Amino acid sequence: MKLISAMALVSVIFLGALFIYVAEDIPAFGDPYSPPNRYVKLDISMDADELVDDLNQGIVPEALVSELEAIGFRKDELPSSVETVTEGEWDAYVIPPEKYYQDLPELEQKRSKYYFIKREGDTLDVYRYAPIIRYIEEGHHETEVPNMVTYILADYRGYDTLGEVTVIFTAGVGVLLLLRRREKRPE
Amino acid sequence: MNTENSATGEGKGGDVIVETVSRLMVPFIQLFALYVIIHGAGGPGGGFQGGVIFAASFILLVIAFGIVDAGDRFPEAVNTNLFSVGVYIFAGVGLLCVILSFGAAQYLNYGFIPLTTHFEENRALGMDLVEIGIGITVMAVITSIFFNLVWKRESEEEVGEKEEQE
Amino acid sequence: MIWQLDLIVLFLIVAIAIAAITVRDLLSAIMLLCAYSFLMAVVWVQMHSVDVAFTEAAVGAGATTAFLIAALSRTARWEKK
Repeated sequence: MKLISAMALVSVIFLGALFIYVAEDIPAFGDPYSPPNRYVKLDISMDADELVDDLNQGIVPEALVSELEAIGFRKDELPSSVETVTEGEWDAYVIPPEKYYQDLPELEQKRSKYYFIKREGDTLDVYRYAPIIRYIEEGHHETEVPNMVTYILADYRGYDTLGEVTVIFTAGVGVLLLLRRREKRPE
Repeated sequence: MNTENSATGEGKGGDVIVETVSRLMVPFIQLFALYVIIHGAGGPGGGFQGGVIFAASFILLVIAFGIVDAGDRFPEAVNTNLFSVGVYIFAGVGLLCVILSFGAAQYLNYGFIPLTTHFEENRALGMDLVEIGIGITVMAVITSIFFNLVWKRESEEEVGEKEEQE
Repeated sequence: MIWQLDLIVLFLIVAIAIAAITVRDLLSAIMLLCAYSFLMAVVWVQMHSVDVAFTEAAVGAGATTAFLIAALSRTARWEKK
């Protein structure tokens, strides 16, 4: 067997093994409870006892806001209201930065779930909801389009699709330049 | 079965059966493609798939009628212009949101195109416009790739035949 | 879906892939790739992602096969040994 094909075989086997090892580590994307599909833990932990009664009444505690800002969340990503999901679990809502019609009152309180606060013994763990949660839960209501794939591709991630269309455009132009149907010019 | 024959239809078009069958089928393929493009919102499909199916109808035209007739049916100039028409529609719809809302909306925030009074329906309709844009570009690109791939072969053969006759 | 059918489809896909590589006649290799795209579309549908299956069927079986045949008509048909 020639040296070249031997090296090729070795590299294929090595890369295949690496691929299987990596694929085995990734959380199953289909699994709805994996972090990318639900919420990701932020490294904020606050002591629970004084904050719990604030949260139960739906008041956003100052400590939470300052901690979030410390981590680096922007001004318009700070929570403005809190709701109790179950005992010991709260959802913090944010008014998202996108613009809506000003004159439609019911749109005014447009808010989406950004943070999830969970009580662990005497500490509070703060999680950040994955954006897919907003697409899944509020997408149909916000865009009146039944097909989730379409409104994620065209509306929420419209920039990516714009990029894809320009990629297809440049591919077409590239092929055009290479294989242009020039009539045979008389030499 | 000689590959040159099947791929290019000798430039004069295949036999009668292939021509009549494809003459019947092409309009329905194109109708289905338009359905897929417009109904991207409702069911599976959308700009990309619809554009490819539309291009498949032109590919069928080339296979059945040969590149010369298909070239007349869908001239290259129109094809090359359609490349950018689709992208302009997509980017234009995005810009339209900013213009029509006098700078209030972000780019590509379809809610502000005043097609209806409801914010959500505007987004749905804006998406349909965008899907049409994608469909046009994808159709033009795939058709032009196929035409160019097949066409070059033709002119070589014509030149070849002329040299043989002289 | 019945898992036996899954296994049959998956084995078929692997068999087609190996056949497409080993076969000498390029046109049949292209046809094998077309069949491969079709079976992949079936697998996508079985995994409940219908949009991807639609794209795979339209692009994989439709456009790519046409391109490959058009490209084949410009080169030799038999793979040089």
